[in-house]
Amino acid sequence: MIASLRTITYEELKGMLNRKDRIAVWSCDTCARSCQGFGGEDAMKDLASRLRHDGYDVRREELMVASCFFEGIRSKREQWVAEGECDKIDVIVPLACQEARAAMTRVFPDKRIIDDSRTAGLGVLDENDICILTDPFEWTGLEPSDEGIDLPSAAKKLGLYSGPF
Amino acid sequence: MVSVSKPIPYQEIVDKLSKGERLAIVSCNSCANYCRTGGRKAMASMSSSLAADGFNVVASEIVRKACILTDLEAVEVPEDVDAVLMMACVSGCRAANKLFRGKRVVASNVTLGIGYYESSKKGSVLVSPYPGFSSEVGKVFPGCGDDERALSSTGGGTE
Repeated sequence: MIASLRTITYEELKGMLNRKDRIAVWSCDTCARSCQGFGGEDAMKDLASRLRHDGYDVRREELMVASCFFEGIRSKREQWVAEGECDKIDVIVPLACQEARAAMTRVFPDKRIIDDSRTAGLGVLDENDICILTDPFEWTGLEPSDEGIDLPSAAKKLGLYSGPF
Repeated sequence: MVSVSKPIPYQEIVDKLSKGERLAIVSCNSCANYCRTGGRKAMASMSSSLAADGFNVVASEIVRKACILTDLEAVEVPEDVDAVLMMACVSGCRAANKLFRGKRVVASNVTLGIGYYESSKKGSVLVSPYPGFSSEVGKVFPGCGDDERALSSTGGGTE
């Protein structure tokens, strides 16, 4: 289970977008959803709705079961092309891990992909469907352990955010 | 959910096991399967190699995703096993440490980091490495020929 933290606030996200941008909100429905609801259908729909309410041109909402599958991302692009929509998207706001974003950058070299998350490491999904970070990356300065650390606590220590925008 | 792993050499694994103990193998069918360090085929190979080498393998079980506690709880590991060989990433081993208290958990894989799965390359691409694996970023696991090496290192490869 990938433990993802959000790196920006909603206000900061808006600062990275232009009202002329044609936006797709893209969400992973596996790890990102389990990371305090950073991703998932509800987070995606809420973010799209807030952005539209604030005057941004959200054209698409795209939910992928898992965004860490290169061919899955590529098939989404092919679907956009088939629907004549691909050229009508300028920016993708991904609610996914940074590894998925790396794959998306390869598939969508013509789109601006917002850098909004950082992977803190690997974790375990506990009995309450909550992701617990057990094997943090070195940059976090956190120690690996069986008990791990919950994402809100990790985010607080790292000056980042957990959960949806 | 793509952790990237590679197998620990077979001899290093058996050095951590005892022929007198009852052993269960639990193999993750998610990320480790993509790296072919888990899944059914790798598990069958490991099981037959250990049995051929005189180890007492009493159960071999597949788990959908070893890093999800409820998935791992659903796996039927006999109460009386002494050790569990986890064919999973470090997260799966963490979950096993929590669930299989009183049993020795032995890892069969080393986790290199996190990446994404690319089926056309028949493996997972490492993006974010753990310490010691920075030079592996961008590489695909299993790499070219790794399958054969992994199978031969376990003495298997007949499937």
